[in-house]
Amino acid sequence: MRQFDICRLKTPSDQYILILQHDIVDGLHTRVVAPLSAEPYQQLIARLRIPVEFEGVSYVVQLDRMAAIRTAEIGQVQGNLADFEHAVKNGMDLLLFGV
Amino acid sequence: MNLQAFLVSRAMPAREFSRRIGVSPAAVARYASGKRIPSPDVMQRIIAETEGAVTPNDFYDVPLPPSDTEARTNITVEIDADLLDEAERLGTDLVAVAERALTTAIRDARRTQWREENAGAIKEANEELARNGLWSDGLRLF
Repeated sequence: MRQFDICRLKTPSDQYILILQHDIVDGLHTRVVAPLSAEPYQQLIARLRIPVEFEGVSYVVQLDRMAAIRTAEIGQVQGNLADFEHAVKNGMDLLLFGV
Repeated sequence: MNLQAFLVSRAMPAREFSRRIGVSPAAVARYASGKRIPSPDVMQRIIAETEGAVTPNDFYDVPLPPSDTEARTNITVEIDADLLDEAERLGTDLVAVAERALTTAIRDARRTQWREENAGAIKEANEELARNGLWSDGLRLF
């Protein structure tokens, strides 16, 4: 499990999460993650909610709902969103420092 | 910083530095005292060895024009004469005050604009939260 991997949660197993935490602290038994949502939003909060395609389905990465959870709660790696590094950085910048 | 300041700040003997960049200790002494300017080839090795702390201009000391990112311009404005008198009497830096105030005003305007543009999306996010709850309830460590 590495930064920008998409994983399922163990419970509920249909919940996907994106690992935000850098691998430099992968020794911790916790990960800061953001949820993916398949909710068909009409409008997306600029920069904070990142639309992604994954396994042919449209999801939204909800950076505003990130949290630290136990590594033990995280299931199998399903894919990787490393291409979205810049978008994630941009969103975190907005979340923490505004515009 | 100039080479002399670099050697002092790193407590690096000229002999050691000369070995690293492949010139004689006497040459380093002349570079450090400003008696000689390194050739382009040696200059590159100095830049590399000092990780950019010593630059070519540290040997020439040419005044540089302000870069494009801090381009300056002139404006003409009307201002309360009494305020200006008092500011001048007290030595207030008008330009610095104006730039600080403008920076704050621009930031506030940008934030107001962002809030307005995203108000609908935020309302929708809150409604969805009320319907579906927060994914991390029961999982968070806090």
